[in-house]
Amino acid sequence: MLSYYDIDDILLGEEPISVVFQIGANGVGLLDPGSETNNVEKSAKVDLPFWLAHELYLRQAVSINVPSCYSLKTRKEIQADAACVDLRFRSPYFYELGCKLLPLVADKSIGPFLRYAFTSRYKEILCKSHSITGATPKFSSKLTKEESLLLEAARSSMVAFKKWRVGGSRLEKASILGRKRKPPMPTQPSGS
Amino acid sequence: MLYNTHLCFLLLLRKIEDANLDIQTTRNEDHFGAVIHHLSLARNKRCLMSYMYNRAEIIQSLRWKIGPVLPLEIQEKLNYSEEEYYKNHSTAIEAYMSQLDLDLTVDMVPPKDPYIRVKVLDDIGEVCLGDHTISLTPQSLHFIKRVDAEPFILQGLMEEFLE
Repeated sequence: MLSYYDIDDILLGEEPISVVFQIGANGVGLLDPGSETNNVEKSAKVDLPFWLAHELYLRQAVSINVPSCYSLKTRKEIQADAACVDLRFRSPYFYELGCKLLPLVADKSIGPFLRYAFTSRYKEILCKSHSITGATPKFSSKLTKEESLLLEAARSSMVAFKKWRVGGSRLEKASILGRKRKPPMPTQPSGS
Repeated sequence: MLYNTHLCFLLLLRKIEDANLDIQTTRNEDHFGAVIHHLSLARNKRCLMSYMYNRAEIIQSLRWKIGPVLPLEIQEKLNYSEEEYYKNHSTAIEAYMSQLDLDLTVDMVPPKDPYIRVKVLDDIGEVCLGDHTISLTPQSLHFIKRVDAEPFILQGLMEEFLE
């Protein structure tokens, strides 16, 4: 499923990860806003995108800190009421990033935590997908990318099922043609 | 930006060489600087390649969803090589279909009846269907072969008429 061209995998790589440089690096001062020279010093703490943090970790140039979205605070919130936690705000790729981080950090409790969070939220997503219709409700703005896809899949199959029961036209205009953007509203002449 | 990254990369490599260190085994600050620049180049390349590839996938799928001729609103969004790509892809499919003597782009939804009742939405004009021509004027109803109607429905020029 993951390929070189996968857009989600690329976007996941943009998530910021806090790392500590085990060895300095010259000529890359723009990575460290606090740096006065064009270099990153040894033991500097810098936020890097995940793709770079991962590669540098494999070369033993940095050590990775567990991002705050998997902190104790989040875990307590998830335990209290999983479905109410805004995971999209923490990271739209909360689960995928967690899976990728797991081999890179010492804290192995992330794995069971992610599974717990996903299973308890999954139930809620399925229940909600049957009841909500129309405009995006407040609930779906808290979902990660993967969860939104699940919600959408559940909703569209429900719609397809209802349509099948009623019967009707199964041939339709290609959906891409309907997406034509509306021209901008003509400006109202002001004044009298 | 790309050029700049490449330049930094080369400068750092030069610096390692000037210090008379082995470029294969040195792991100093210059090495990691160069590694970061190198990885950035590869990353930028991946982003650009992915963008092109995903557009190409969509363009391919258009042939199956809309037909051999793209509406203007889509065509004006394609660049020259994408237009060429679409034409070549379309020609390849058509060559294959004429070899098979079968239109593969129709009946994507399994048909219940080979004939279909349709209402014309847009002025299509005189069309030759099989052995006779019919005039497809707006709001007229027709009972025609499903395979003939399907391309028009996909393009939004007619719709299935249901009692």
